[in-house]
Amino acid sequence: MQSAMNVKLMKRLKMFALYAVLVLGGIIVLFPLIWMVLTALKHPGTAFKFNFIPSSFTPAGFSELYTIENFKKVFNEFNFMKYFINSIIVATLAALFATTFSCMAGYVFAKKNFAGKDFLFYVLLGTMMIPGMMYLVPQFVITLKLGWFDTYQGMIVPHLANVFGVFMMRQFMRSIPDSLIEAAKLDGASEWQIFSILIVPLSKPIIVTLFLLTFLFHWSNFIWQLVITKPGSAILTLPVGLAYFSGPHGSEWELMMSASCFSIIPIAVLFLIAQNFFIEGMTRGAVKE
Amino acid sequence: MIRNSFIMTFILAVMLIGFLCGTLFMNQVTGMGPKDILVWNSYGPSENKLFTEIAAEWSKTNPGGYKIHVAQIPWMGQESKYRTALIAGAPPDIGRVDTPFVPELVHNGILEDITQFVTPEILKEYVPAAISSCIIKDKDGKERVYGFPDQTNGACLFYNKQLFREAGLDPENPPKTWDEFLAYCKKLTIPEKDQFGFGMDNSLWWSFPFFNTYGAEFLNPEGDKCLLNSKEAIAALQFKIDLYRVHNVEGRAWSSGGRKPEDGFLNKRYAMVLMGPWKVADFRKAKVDFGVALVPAGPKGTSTNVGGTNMVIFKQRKRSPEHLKACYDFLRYLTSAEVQAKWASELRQIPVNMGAYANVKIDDSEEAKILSVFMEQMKTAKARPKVLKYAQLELIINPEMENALNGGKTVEQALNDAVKRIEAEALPKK
Repeated sequence: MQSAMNVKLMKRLKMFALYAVLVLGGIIVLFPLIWMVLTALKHPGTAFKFNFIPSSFTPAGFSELYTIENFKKVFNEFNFMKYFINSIIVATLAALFATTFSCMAGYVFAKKNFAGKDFLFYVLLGTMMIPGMMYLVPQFVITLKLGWFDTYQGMIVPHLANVFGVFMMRQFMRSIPDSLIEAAKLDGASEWQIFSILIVPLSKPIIVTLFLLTFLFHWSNFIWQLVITKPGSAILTLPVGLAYFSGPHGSEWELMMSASCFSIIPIAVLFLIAQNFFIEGMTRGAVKE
Repeated sequence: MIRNSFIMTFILAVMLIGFLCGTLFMNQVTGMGPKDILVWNSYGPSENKLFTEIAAEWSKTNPGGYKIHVAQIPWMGQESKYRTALIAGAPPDIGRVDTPFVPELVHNGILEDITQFVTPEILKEYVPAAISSCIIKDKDGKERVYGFPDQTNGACLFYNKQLFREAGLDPENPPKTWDEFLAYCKKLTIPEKDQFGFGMDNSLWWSFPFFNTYGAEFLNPEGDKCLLNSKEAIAALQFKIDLYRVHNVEGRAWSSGGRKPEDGFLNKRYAMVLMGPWKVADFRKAKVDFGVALVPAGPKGTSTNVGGTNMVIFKQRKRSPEHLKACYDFLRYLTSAEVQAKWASELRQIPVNMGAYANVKIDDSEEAKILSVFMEQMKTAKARPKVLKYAQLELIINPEMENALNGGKTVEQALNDAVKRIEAEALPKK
């Protein structure tokens, strides 16, 4: 009887310790988000005043520390919705096209044989060693010559060749058994049918993962979107818009955080919808089975 | 299933073709006419609003019928924006740039020389340290004028009045010399309360108030020799470093992970900091009880560093002499005593034209008092060295100064080593 109680107590203690660690981990993970929201609610100029607890828990006490004016300003004066919609258009189209092309190229590198395949693949991989900033000027000049300055095409097309995406796709697709493809061929499937009916559905986890990563990249891409658009352009995106809150001597953190509270919503929603695929894609692409 | 995949592929292909042909979202780029002047500014919202008003006013009244088109660019990434616009051959007519960027633009032959329009009397109208950043020695060794300053600032001494009172110091009588400053620091430092007399930044720019008040010169007149290991410079840096190492009155604000001077001042960790006018509004909104005083005087009196921006005129492939004159006229209008008085009164900023000093009108007496201190300080401010890559100086000197702060080198060693590297890497060879 005594030992049964001890076992029960030990079990409870273990559970308690486990939850305590998880709660602590949760707080650590959520801390930047909580800080962002609290900063967004602070009065101008007080972002770095380390005082988050009101003097009294009354409306007056809270209004001494917090305000919703920053949110109003972001929507009324900052034209947040324009930047937000542009970012959605750019990030969605870029992610869609980049994932499609990476998927096609990944399939070819994983399942097709042609002369110099490996050499070409390693050359492509080698380009990942070159820092992204090195491409800025050549890409800018080419985009300009194509007449795409200050257009959505100019913002998106130069980043559609995604070597990392091709690499991820190839690694994942290599784990699809060749026997499946051969069986499809015996059933009379064409190359296109094998790709679209067999390979794509089997690669859903990695496709979703790549879509999310590409979306995230374009959602937060600043320097390219800045240089390829005209000042005051109608197609400016959120990262460029947010940069207007920064000056030579610091940033308007309260306004920046207010805008950031909304700018993380699409990313959060996408991750929530696709989280199962995403985690599966991350782990399955890592090893060849 | 097969049908669905074909439909999806078809939709994607149509979208891609439409997209690449530019028929879906083409954005029209409008051209500029011969009487148009495009200005890029990197101002904040309130500055941009006033600037747009000023530009509109000039557009209405200028006799040549020129029209200013204002475009706001973000401060962050502005150099990349200018560089790519220059590569594209489509820079604005006028651009607002950070002062250290000007020598590089001049060196690359990108800016219009406006010396032909500028008389010595005109130059005397401006804050000396501010206009100095527009006068650049060209490749032929001659000094020429490239634009006008549109904003200038420098650091003053900010002090917390409440902490002064608690330490038994008169809040209306801030320290006037470095000796007094040190004595004040000692009284204001209470380690058990995590309170320090001073919080300092360690970059070169933030060290200029020390160097300048000790009379240290950075470069020789030819600009090919660094003088930062002179006895004045060594004394200045020694004083700065001793605040931390010997007197223990500085709260390690300069160290990585340390509380930055402005944040520590806001949270009463540092009783005094060197800070610029851009923080006045924030400190007032945060209800900090503070005052602003001139930088304590050293052997050569009070002085400070200089920051700010210049408005420069970019060369264009096709530009008439009249268009260049119109650009110049607009910049003169923007920096005239009258417009600068309005700018300073509305935005609480230091006018670049000293003729505006007497006409700045600010209702809030406390703000007026603070701005008057800054305006006074700018009279003795000293321009930063005009080298091709100013940022490189910071990259060389800052680690050496940090080494001295950490006790890794003596001040003399640190400055000698910095000077050697600056002459080898950042200055033109003889």
